[in-house]
Amino acid sequence: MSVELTPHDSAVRADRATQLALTLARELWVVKDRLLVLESMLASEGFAGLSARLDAFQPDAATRASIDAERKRFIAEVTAALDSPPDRQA
Amino acid sequence: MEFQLKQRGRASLHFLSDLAVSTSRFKPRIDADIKAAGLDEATLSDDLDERLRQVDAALADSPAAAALAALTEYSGVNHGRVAAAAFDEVRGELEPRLKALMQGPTTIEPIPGERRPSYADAAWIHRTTGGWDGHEYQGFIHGELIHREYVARNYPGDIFAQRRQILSVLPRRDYQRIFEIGTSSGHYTLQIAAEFPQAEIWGCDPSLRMLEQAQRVANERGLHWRLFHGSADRTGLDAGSVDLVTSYIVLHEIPREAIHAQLREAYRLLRPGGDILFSDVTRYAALNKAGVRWAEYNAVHGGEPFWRESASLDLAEAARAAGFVNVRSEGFGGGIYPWFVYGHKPS
Repeated sequence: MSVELTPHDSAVRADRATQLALTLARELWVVKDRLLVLESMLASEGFAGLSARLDAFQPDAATRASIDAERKRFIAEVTAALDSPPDRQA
Repeated sequence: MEFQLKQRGRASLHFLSDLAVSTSRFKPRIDADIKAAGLDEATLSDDLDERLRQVDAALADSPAAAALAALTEYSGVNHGRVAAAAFDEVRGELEPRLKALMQGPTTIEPIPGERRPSYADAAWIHRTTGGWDGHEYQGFIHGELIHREYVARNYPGDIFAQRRQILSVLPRRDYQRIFEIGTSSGHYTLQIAAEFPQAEIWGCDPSLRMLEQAQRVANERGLHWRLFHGSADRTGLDAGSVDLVTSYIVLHEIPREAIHAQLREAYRLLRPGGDILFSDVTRYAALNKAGVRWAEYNAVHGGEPFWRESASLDLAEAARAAGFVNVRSEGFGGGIYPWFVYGHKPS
């Protein structure tokens, strides 16, 4: 087998906070990407007044349930980054 | 197979890929930090473990080294998870097509010899979540998502063209039956089939999930490959049954003893006058001390438990020990990557 991590790299690997920050960055990028796609699609279809309608929007029960489920998935993803990586768990 | 990921999967994979690309900017800074600490070819230890400790101590306060380690860790742990999640988003649409492509002229059968060598479960190679068989569709996930969207964007040159170009090393174009070791999802196999259209293609791999993707790739193109699920160390196939035994970027993923075993098995499988061509990562003997240290860094962080013992092996000597003649062990085209060992079985 090859050598183990050096002490310095072990310390970096154990820094779960940095891994958490990177996970959040990835999730943030997914959202930014989606917003860019959405803006592009709406603009191409001549949609106007989107910002005001978003501010005023109140989700109905089905939409709220969908948002709740997505938020739970998001939290699970974020907290997984705080745990030991699966290939290093005892 | 044409397919489209959903927005989340596409954006997540591209984020990870670009994140990995971004790490290249830290490496010159780390080299500068190492040099500033007084470490160079003269002062770096000949002993590799001691050399790693020297560099580790020199980089203890290097922001660039800390950044690279954090980013490498994140990419290593997450690329497989993100790719699997991207697949799962479109699984319902793809699954009928993936299942249909398993019907066709290319077959998978158990290898008569050893099915799964013990070292195959030593680690998740590349730190890919679950290893080669970690998902029901790991072959598609690795071959189409990780390889094309992540690996191909992070390695220099065209990694698919490299698989074709290396075949120019071979002295013959009339091979009738070719045996590939480590077929995986079939990227190299496709290049072999294109370069030697008259040849019957056999391949093997200990991972059934990866072979299933090779089967789909072949069936989609109407290709007739005979794939064996099992190890190349002891195939149990008939001696003297093939003209060429070849592998691409497999040797560094198996231990030294397995390399010797595969060379011996290749010699046994070849008809007199046959050839081997095994391509792999750069040998440590062709790198300077700093280069070996970087290779070790990438191996240890990248989930490559056998890289050191494999890259330290003298492939020319190993091939000759297995009985091959006219042996060449060198970098392709005068470079250092990909490395290859060629050998000929005397007529």
